[in-house]
Amino acid sequence: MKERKHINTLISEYFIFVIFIALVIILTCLKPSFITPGNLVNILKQASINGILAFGMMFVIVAGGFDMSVGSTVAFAGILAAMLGQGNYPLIVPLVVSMLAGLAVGIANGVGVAVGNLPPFIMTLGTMTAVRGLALVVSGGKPVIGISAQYKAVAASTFCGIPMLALYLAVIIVICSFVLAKTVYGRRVYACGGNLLAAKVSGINTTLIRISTFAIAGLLAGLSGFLMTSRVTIGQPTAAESYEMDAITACVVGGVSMSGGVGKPWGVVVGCLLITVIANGLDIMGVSSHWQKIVKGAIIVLAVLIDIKGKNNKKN
Amino acid sequence: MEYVLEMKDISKTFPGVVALDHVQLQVRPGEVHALMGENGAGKSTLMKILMGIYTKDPGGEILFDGKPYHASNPKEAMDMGVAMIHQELNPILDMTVYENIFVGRELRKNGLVDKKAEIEEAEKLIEECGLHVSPKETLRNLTVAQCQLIEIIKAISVNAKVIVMDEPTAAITEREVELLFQHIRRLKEKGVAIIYISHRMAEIFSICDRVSVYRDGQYIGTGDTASLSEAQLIKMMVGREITDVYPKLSAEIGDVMFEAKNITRADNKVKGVSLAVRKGEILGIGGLVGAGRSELVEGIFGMHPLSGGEIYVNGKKVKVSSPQDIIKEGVALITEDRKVTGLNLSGTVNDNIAMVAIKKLLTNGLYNKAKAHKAAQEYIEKLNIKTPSVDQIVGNLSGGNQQKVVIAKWLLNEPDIIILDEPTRGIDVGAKRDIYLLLGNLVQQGKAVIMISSEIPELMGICDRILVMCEGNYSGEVQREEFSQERIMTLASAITV
Amino acid sequence: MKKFLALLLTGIMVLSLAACGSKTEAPANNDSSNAPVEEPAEKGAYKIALIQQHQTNAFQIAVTEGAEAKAKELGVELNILSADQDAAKQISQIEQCVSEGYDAILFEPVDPDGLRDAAKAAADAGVVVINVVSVCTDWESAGISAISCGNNVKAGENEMQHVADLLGGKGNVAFLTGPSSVTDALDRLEGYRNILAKYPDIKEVVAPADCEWDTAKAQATVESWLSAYDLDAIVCENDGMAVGAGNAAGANSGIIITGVDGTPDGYEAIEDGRMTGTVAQDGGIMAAGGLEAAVTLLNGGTLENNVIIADSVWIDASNVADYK
Repeated sequence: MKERKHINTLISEYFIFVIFIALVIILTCLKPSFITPGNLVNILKQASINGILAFGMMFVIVAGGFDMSVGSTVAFAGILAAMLGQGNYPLIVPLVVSMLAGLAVGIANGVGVAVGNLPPFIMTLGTMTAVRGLALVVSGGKPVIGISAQYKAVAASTFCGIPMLALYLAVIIVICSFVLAKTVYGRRVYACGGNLLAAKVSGINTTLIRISTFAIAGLLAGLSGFLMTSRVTIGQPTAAESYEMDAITACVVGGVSMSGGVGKPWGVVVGCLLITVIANGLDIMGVSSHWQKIVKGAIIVLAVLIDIKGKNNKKN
Repeated sequence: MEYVLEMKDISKTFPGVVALDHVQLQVRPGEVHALMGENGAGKSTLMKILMGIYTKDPGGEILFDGKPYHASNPKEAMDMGVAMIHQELNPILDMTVYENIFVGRELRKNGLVDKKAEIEEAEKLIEECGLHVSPKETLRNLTVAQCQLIEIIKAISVNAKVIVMDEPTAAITEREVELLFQHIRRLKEKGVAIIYISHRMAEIFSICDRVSVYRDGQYIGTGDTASLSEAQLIKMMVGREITDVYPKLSAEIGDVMFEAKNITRADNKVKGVSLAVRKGEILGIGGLVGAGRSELVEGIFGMHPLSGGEIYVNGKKVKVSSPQDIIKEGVALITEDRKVTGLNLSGTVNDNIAMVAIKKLLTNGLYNKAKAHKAAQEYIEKLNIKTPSVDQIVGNLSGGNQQKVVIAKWLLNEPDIIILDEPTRGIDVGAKRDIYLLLGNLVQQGKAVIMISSEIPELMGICDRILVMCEGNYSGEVQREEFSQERIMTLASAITV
Repeated sequence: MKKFLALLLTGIMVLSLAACGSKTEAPANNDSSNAPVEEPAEKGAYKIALIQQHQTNAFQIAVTEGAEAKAKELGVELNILSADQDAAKQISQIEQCVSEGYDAILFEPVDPDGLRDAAKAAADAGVVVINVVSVCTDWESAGISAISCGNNVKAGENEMQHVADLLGGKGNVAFLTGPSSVTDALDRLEGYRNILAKYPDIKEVVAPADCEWDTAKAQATVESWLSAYDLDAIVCENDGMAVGAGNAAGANSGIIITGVDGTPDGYEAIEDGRMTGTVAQDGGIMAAGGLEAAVTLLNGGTLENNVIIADSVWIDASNVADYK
């Protein structure tokens, strides 16, 4: 009895990983070119920006919040990076400016939520709209072209055959996992999301923790904007529309609970790879993107369903 | 130095309300000091000021170890040596035992969390407390009682000089209460002072040395428990004499009105339990927390699928697949957690009372507000609900009055069989007594009552018969004339394999 | 408290309006009394409104600029509004313009069917109504006097014809499209297929991918395609997606990559070899044509042809410098 329960928990915990492997096998059978090294490199490239956003989102969701504004922040930071990345300044300038811009948006979100007591959804819906507007104003509505070759190389170059984009993601994964799992700060992020009141009376400065999670999401959105511009070689005010949804999807599919306090970094990695593989695999098979949306939607609901079931099992 | 903690002349005013009016508290080192008073007396407010959650009004002073004390948040209070176990505070369910124990004051090594040291330390603390759980277990997998003990361990491990315990036994079983008391005694020996808040008289007299009583924000007095009687204490709390804590009204017992046979739940939390209740009878269901009592009545009520069992109302077999099926037969269930399943806290008294029996309040198929108002008014009087008006938001009422609103809501539907799950949990003496009298009145009117309670004295006081459950099984039954605490405890802790 | 808040809000709004007004370029000025025409129009000049679908890409900015230049030339008072892709908003903007007594309304319907009634009502109120850039379904019966637009089918044909010529009539092609709920996207695809029908040796090896006009999406899709398909040409319905395809394939990849629009990002990609060419549709010309037609009609004249088509131009590395 106890043994069975244990296996059940194990399956529910690693279910998403099982789905992921199954999907890879199915896709390989259907279209052998899926598994070629070239395509695997594609998957890494395509997963990287969403992956970085998803890790920022993870901090916010684990702490019990929610951030709708990251897509707009990516576009805004991307525009700034494109304007400053024309070769007039060293690359560090667009990098730092775009990250600071993201950080500012994140702090605004955090203060609104943790100090102003606004529901995260409302607060970040507001910044989502406003920051998108800011991106349009700054760019005059036009794409910003003419970024330097050096800047283009940030995303386009490879290291030993591995795209640099994937390496940036790997660095972010390592840092975020370390912070969440090993540091006092990380532990407190989980505590805030698990039970805000309990965390507060345990002497944790929950206001600061919550602001900081939004700040991290903003900072990583700024970084993503910088990389996004390098990858597409232009800064577009309309870029990254609904990227927040992809980031949230990666988190939720990866087992991060929307009610906060739960989530493992590796889950987010798998969640992110899973949605990338769906898009990539269906592209390769020539399936229309309309169908891709249906599949993606179904997987989100399925993943959350399993998440809830797994929790109930544990409770019993 | 005589006192480890002195709170002198403390006042706290909220907009429009004086919550504390120049009250005091003096706690000696190594004593267990009870704070008593009905809900709203100001005990919690006083403790929140101590913990730095509220700021006291100017004037008055707090001395800790003879020195002026000021905490502006819980962390500062803990740093100075004052810890608190909060009553309505849920632990962080998705974290492990050791993570919960050390939340907010994580052990560090090289600036990082020292997981290994935390686990070792937690293991030691858990063992000292006599609890058998792994420090790496997630709290979600523990029972409510185990979680409560983890909270206690957490407070103890702060190495505080003063520990405030707000209703620490509200959710734990008698056996665990004994463990807690052992621990409290050990803390006393070390010179730690405990401020103990509880509504349970028996506990006050068995563990506390002195007691301070508050009423309506006023300090009433302090005395040694050894020299006080229960009646004296109640008089201090309520402000009037209550001679008889468990009033038992006599009623004529008739035929079996309700019977459940061999109830087995699909999730196996209840295994083949049968019960029957007669007209005019109050049947108690006793047992430890987690014995499957709530699960039994929820199963009967159609809230969870059954894998076996039959239900008879007035001798007629009833097929129950949802609560509607059994509500139609005149059965009502007043659930344990009134805030989650019993009430719409942001609705008015009127809204809540009208919720179940809405069909009785219709005129030509439409909701008749005047009718509902009248009905609500009637039950407010009948049940002695203390509310300024029928339009008061239920969330603003005290626990006892909220409980009465839940009961009123069901009574309006005129049920014949009323099942109550822990109806007096967390409510004060006066309100408890009102509820006992109400149950007595109901059986006098020829209804049948089933009541679950964790307080054995309460069950023994007002029930005609007590059914005891243990680990999801039927463990035995005791008639009123054979009632004894030992007998019931034995049945409740019978180990079945 | 509430009053104070209201006051504060009003204050902020006034300030921000003032801030908008102080800018030299204010394409989205909603304040009708403050038309963005540099020289004040003479008294009695026609009051004309242009309602764009949105103002968030290079093409639409060209529409704004083309209209402004033409208005100045014709000496009319022009107010430019943006519907932000919202049909309901566009309808109320039209109603507002009618009640403010505009002489003519030029608009670019967000939805080809949904805007018909609003157009009809405006025309019935005596306002000259003209569609620019895109067109309402059955526009003449909706009271619309003239249309000035590109022809998306023709633009698509133009693009595909150049691709077919470059391929020498033989090869594998794939299409990147805009959302298939948009007529522009459907029309361009129709144009591609019209040409494709003439070349049996050019094969469409994968179903068209809807990349929603987005560069990053197009880039990911083409990266995936290239590991599975042997493509000779990727034909894109706008320059943004063509840039993405070009990024995925790399500069001078040997794959023909083309777009539609003629926007700066497209020109940049043509110059550095990531794109082969583009079919330019000049939104400015379309807006100017519409404006001219409106003034002719307001002056009591008649139009030789009430369908004004702005031809599309093929731009590649040889002539891109002229258009930049």
